Amino acid sequence: MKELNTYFFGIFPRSEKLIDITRKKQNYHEDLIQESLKIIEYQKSKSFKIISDPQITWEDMFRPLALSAEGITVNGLNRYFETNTFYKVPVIRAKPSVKEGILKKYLATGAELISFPDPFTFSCLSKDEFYGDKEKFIEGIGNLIATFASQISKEGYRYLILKGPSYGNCEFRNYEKSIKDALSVIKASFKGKVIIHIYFYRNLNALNFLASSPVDGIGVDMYSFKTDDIKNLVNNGKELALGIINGFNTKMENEDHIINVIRSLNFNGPLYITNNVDFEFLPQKFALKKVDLISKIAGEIS
Amino acid sequence: MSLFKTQEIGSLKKPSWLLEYLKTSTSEEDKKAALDDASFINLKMLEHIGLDFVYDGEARRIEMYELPAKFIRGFEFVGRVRSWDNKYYKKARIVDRVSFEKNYHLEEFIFVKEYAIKTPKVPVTGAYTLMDWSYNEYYNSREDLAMDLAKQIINRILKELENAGMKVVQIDEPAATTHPAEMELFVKIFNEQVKGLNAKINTHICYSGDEYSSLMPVIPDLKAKHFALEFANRDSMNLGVDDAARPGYRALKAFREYASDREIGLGVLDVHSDYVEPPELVRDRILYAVKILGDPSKIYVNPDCGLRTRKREIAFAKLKNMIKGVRLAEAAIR
Repeated sequence: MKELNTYFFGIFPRSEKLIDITRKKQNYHEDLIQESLKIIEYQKSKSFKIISDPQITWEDMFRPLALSAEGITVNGLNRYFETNTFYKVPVIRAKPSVKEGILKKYLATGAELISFPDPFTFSCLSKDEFYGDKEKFIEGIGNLIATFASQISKEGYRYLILKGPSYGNCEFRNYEKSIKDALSVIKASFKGKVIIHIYFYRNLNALNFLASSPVDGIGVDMYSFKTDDIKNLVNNGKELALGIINGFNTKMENEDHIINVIRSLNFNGPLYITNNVDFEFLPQKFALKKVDLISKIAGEIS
Repeated sequence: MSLFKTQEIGSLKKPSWLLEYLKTSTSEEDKKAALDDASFINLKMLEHIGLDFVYDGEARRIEMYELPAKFIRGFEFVGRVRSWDNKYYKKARIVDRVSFEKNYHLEEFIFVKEYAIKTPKVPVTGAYTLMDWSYNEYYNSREDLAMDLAKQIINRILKELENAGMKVVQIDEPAATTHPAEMELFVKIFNEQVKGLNAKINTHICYSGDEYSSLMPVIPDLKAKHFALEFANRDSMNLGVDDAARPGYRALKAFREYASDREIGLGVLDVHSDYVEPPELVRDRILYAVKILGDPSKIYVNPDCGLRTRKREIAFAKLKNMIKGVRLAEAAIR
């Protein structure tokens, strides 16, 4: 293995104390920022080389982006895939453009990795009242995310994770060109690495499609996909992020089993050990234990 | 006589005096008395507003998942998990085989039954939802866990409530459509938990994520007479009874196709917004449902879900307008 690295992606859960604060105080943004900084320090203490923005300030995967864009509002609640967590649906009412200075309020100082919805997933989970055409919609969202990507580059982020759960359950075949175009624009706007994560569903067509998409790496939910499914991805030129720590169950993974799986892949390119889905589906104390486990496994293998 | 029956779905925000009292009082007897008072006030408020089916606003309950998890052996709380924004629920993991500890609804039902003038409708969280909302660290499969909950816990609770006089139960199964590929399992678990009951069986399913497209085809297989569903959350605020004005109610057409012999509990109030729906908007939502489904006697009117996230004055204002809207709809039909 040429290079083994670790990170976690997505929204990290808030602590019990912080949850209480958000219930009692009207203005708690500073408390969110302080907890973000604590999680950043925690990663450093566990020898993470890539420091993730825990996105503690994010109410859902869309909200700060929707609030940072002209032409987008948020409407009713919708279930986030097959979870008991809900998000407010972005509604695109006019051509989206970036409102300056808003997104920065949601970023954590010192972080190097952040997760955004990928343009296809954004289009599937939001409501289009402007484009009237899915391809144009995907391209329009791609341009918007590219502008955000350019902004975060300037803030020092060097990894952009695109969360792509919708590839698993939403028909993407008719939009392959638009998706690739949108990903290209995002990739070109971001100075660091772009890794797209697919999770929640085992869709081999989607996995193969993303393997040929213009991004640096693929993140795979190893609780939806099987080890054999990713054999084709091994050493095909893309970096691989192994979502092998389960963000959806409190049960702790068997360390030896995970090490065996990683070793069995014989992967030559850069490999990342990461979570399969956002840790926000766990209470924070369990998410922290899983962060510890990522660090421990990386240490054992290295 | 009214054409449409009305109901609340379950929860109301707890009065601030109750929360304060529960925090400060050290006497269990006094706490019980305070809960009795809150329960009585909610019940009478809902009756006063004019609802036909009532309960106590779940005044004694902590939360629809937390309460059962507290009283079923085998659950262990691990912390809070986000529901949406800064709303969280306490989540448990299953660490042992589940077993019955006590009927956590019996005492409240006996109290409500004693004081209710209108018909009490008891909300009970269903087995499938309890399974889906827990971390399973013990059972080999989701089905094994859900089946144990249905047989050993929920069915027993329902039978005891029936023996105590319950005529209408509302099985809350918000997780029902969370996993569209699992609808067959949901049907199996649902029917198991209501096996042998004579009470009228309602179910409430909300925020389905797929606008009930996975639920509708299995309705004929479910042993429930009444389906209280959420629509207003997705609807426009425009007046009108055509498709364009009522985008939130698209699922009614599928309900007509699959469930013409069942009742619908029509959600006409968005419980996540402080916007107090005007009676005219409620009227048009009802009239649209009549246009699609026909027979008004099969249409019950209710909020999308429990109103516990709204301030009490907002919740009551919404319910009052709901009743006014019902009367307007009745006048329009007559």
